[in-house]
Amino acid sequence: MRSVRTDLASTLREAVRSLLGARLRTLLGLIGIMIGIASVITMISIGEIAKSQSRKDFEALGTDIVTIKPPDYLIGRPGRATIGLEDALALAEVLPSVSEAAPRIETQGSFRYAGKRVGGGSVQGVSASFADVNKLQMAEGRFVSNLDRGRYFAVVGADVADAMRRRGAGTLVGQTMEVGERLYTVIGALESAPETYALPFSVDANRSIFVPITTIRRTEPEAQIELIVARAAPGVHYADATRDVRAYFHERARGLELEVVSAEQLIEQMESQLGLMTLLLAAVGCVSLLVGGIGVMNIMLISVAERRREIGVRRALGANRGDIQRQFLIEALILTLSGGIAGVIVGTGAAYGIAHIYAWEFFISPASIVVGVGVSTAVGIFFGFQPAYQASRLDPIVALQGE
Amino acid sequence: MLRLVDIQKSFRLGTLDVEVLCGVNLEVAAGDLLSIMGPSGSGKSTLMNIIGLLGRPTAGSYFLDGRDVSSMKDRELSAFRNMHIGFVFQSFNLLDHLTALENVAVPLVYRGLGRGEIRRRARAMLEKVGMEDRLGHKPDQLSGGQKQRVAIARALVGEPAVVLADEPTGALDSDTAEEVMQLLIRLNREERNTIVIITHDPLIARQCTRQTLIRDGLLLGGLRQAEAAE
Ligand SMILES: Nc1ncnc2c1ncn2[C@@H]1O[C@H](COP(=O)(O)OP(=O)(O)O)[C@@H](O)[C@H]1O
Ligand SMILES: [Mg+2]
Repeated sequence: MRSVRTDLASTLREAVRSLLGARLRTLLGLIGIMIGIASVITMISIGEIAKSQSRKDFEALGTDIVTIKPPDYLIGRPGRATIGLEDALALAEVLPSVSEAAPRIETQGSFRYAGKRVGGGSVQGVSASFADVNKLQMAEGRFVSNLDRGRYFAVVGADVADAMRRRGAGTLVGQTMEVGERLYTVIGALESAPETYALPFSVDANRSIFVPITTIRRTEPEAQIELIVARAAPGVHYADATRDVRAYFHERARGLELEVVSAEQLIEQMESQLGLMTLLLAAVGCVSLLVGGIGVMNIMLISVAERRREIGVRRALGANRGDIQRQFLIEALILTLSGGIAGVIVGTGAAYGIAHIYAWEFFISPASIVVGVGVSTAVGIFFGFQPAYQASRLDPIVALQGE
Repeated sequence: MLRLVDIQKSFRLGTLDVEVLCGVNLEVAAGDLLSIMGPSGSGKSTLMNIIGLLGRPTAGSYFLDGRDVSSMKDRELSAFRNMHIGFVFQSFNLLDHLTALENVAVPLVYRGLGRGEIRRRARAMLEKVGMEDRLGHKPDQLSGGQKQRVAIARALVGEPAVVLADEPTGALDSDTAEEVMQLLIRLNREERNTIVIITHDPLIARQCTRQTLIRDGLLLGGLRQAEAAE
C-alpha cells in the first residue's frame, strides 16, 4: 500500500508541461488573469501613492494649518452673513493661538500683456501672509505686502510669468499688465509651485495672479472671503486654535456658519475620500478578475474534456480521485498564479507610469503585491475547483473510451 | 492469485437490462499466459475492466492477492490497481506530452517512489523491451510497434500481479503484431510475468499457454481444474 503521495516537485513539473502543451489556451487564460490582477494592482498602488502624495503635500504646507470657510452650500447665496475683511485680517493679532491668517477673495479674469493674452485664471486677493502660509516662493521681485492697500499691484504665477516672457518681457517687475479692464503693475513673479493633489483648498498658484485683498475688495465689491488659511502658533494644539477661531467669529459675525477644520481633520477627510476611491477602483478590478476567473474555469473545463483519455489512463495506472483533482487544481493554480505575477509586474509598471505623469513619488505598494498574489491564488482555487472535481469524478472506463 | 467467482455484469439501457456477463468464473495463477477470446461485443473488454478494477461487477466476488476487492473504496482500489494490475491497450494510450521514460515512470510516480528509483526502474524496464535507445522520445516520434513496447514496459514496471492486454496487437500490422506477441511470450517465459491477453484472433490465442473462450456471457476454460480435466 502506498503511503507517500506523489511528490510536489514532480506534480508541478507535470502541470507546467501540460500547460505548455496547450500554449494558446494557457496564454489566453493567463492574459485574462493578468489583466484582472494588473488593474487591481494599478488601482491599489495609485490609490496608495496618491494618498501618500497628498499627505506629503499637506505636510509640506504644515500640519499646524487650520482652514476656515463658509460651508459649500452657502457659497454664492445672496444675503448671507459674510466674513468681514477687517475681522479676517485682525485674526492673527487678536488670537494668541493663531500665528498667521491668510484670507483670500477669489475672482476670475483674463490676463493680457503687450496687447496679447498671457493666460486666464483666478485673480486672488490676498494679504502678505498668504505666501508664507502656502509656502509660495518668489522667483523675482516681492509678494503683496500689507502696505499695498488698494494699489493695482500684481504678483504673477510661474505659468503666467513664462507666457509674459515669451511675449518679450525681460524682467517682469515693473511691467504693466491688463487684468480684465484694469491695468496692474507687476511687483513680483513666483517660482513654479508643485501641483498639490487633493488638498481641500486649491491654490493653483502657477496659473493665477495675486493682488492685494484690499484692491480686489474695491474692484469686485460683491466677492466675498471664501477661505482663510491660518496657522496655529508654535506649541499650540490645533484643537485649541480651532476652538479659539470659532469663538472669535461667533462673537464678531452672529449667524455666520463657518467650517473650521484643522490639518489633521483635513488629512483624515482626504484619506477617507481617497480610500473610498481606491475601494471603488479595486471593485472595478475585481470585476475584471471575476471575468478572468470565469475564463480560467472555461479553459480548465475544456482541458478536462479534451484530456479525458489521459485521465482514464492515469486512473488505470493507479491515480485515485484525489490525485486527478490535485493535478487539475494545481494546473489552474499555476495558470492563475503566473497570470497574477505577470499582473503584478504590469500593474506596478502602469502605476509607475501614472505616478510619473502626475509627478508623484512612486513606490511599490507591498499591500498590492500581497493582494495580487493572494487573489490570484484564491481565483485559481475557486474557479479551478469545479473542473478538477469534474475530472476526478469521471468514470475511468468512460474516460478511457476517449474524446 | 486472481479469482473471479460467478461474476455478473449487466448494463441498463433505458428500461432494458442487458446482461453482458452472466456468471463468469476465472482463476489466474502466477506465470499464466492466458487468452480470452470471443467475438466483438461478447463482453471481453467488460470483463477486463472488472479484472483491472476499473469497473465493478453487478454481482459475484473477486479475490485479488487474497483480498476481496468488492468492498474497496476509491483510494484503496486505486492503490491496489497501481500495485497489482498492468494495462496494455489496443491504442497504446501513452501520454503524448511525456517521453518514453516518463510514460513508463507514471505508475511508479503514483506509488510515491523516489525520483532516482523511478528513473532507474523505468530505464531498466525499457531496456527489457528493447527500447533503451528511445528513452527521450515522445510518442509521436515512435512507430506503432515501438509505442506498444513502451506501453508494455509501463504495464510491467510496477511488477504487477497480472498484466491485462486488451487486443494489444489490434492496431499493428501483422509483422509488428508478431513481434509484440513474441515480446509478451518472452516476458512470460523468461520473467515469469502473468499475462492475460484479450483477443478475437485465434492465431494469437493459440500462442498462449491457457486459452479461454467467452460466449453467451459465460467464460469457457476459466477454471484451472477444468483445464486439468480436459
Ligand atoms: N457502458 C455500457 N453501457 C451499455 N452497454 C455497454 C456498455 N459497455 C459495454 N456495453 C455492451 O456490452 C457488450 C460487450 O461490450 P464489450 O465488453 O466492449 O465487448 P468486446 O470487448 O468483447 O467487444 C456490448 O454489447 C456493448 O454494447
Ligand atoms: Mg473490446
